[in-house]
Amino acid sequence: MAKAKETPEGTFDIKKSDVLQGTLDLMILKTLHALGPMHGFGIARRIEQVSRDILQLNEGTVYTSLLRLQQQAWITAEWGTSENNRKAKFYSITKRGEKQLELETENWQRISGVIGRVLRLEGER
Amino acid sequence: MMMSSRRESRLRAFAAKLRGFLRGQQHDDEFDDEVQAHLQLLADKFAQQGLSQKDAAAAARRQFGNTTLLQEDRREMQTLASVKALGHDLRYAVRTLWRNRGFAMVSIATLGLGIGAATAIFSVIDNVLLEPFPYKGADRIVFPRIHGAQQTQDEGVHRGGGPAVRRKQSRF
Repeated sequence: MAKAKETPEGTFDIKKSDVLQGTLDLMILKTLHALGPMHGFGIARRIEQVSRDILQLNEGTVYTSLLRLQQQAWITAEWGTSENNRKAKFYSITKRGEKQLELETENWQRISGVIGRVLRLEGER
Repeated sequence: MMMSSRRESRLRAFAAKLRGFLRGQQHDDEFDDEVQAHLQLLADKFAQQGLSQKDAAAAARRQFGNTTLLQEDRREMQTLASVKALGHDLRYAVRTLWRNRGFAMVSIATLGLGIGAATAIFSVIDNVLLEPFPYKGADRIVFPRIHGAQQTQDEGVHRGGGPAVRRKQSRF
């Protein structure tokens, strides 16, 4: 498991970490599920907003993630026009993607629950 | 940890790579457009926050990260990089040989003669010394003989011994 590199300001650098990269996929799936079709820029803004600047997102990595999700047929992409009349690629979640999202959400909660319990053990010595 | 829970299918990834490989260049341009549009939007956002055009563009590039690296990652994910590399190597080999035609001919002749001679010699040695009889399990071939109590051992074969057995014997 790669270490999450902690940057000086106490933020996490998402591109260096396998774990966080996996969570980026999950975050993008969830964003598309919750907000419907979006372009890459919109997804990046949304994640920035939600993470309240704790995650330092190299926005290029969003596209790597989008590509990976596309290859697994969890999302699809098509060209459309954005709010300000620019050509943009819009991504939307597929049926398979929704199933995957459900599975990964469950998994994430289970794992974070386990880790939470393990970390709490410390006080009971 | 997360990775172990993912149900990524390698087959799907491979299929995507194959598609990308067959589509070729077109993909690159599309992706470039997308990245440029993103950078532009980011720069607009920074400009609205009061940065000058130039600073905004620089800040956008900083926040986006290395685009060349991204393109490289993408190409690796989307096309069969190894097949492309093999194609390049083969073309390079043919070009180089074509430029030194004399050398190429000599090399090919040497290799051809060498391999041919080695094969011929081995065939002979194999047939004569190693596996002289062209039957399966030649080392297990036996000489069957039939004889009764009053006959000497060699007689039986000639009397009713069966032509099949005799034919086989005559080969030796």
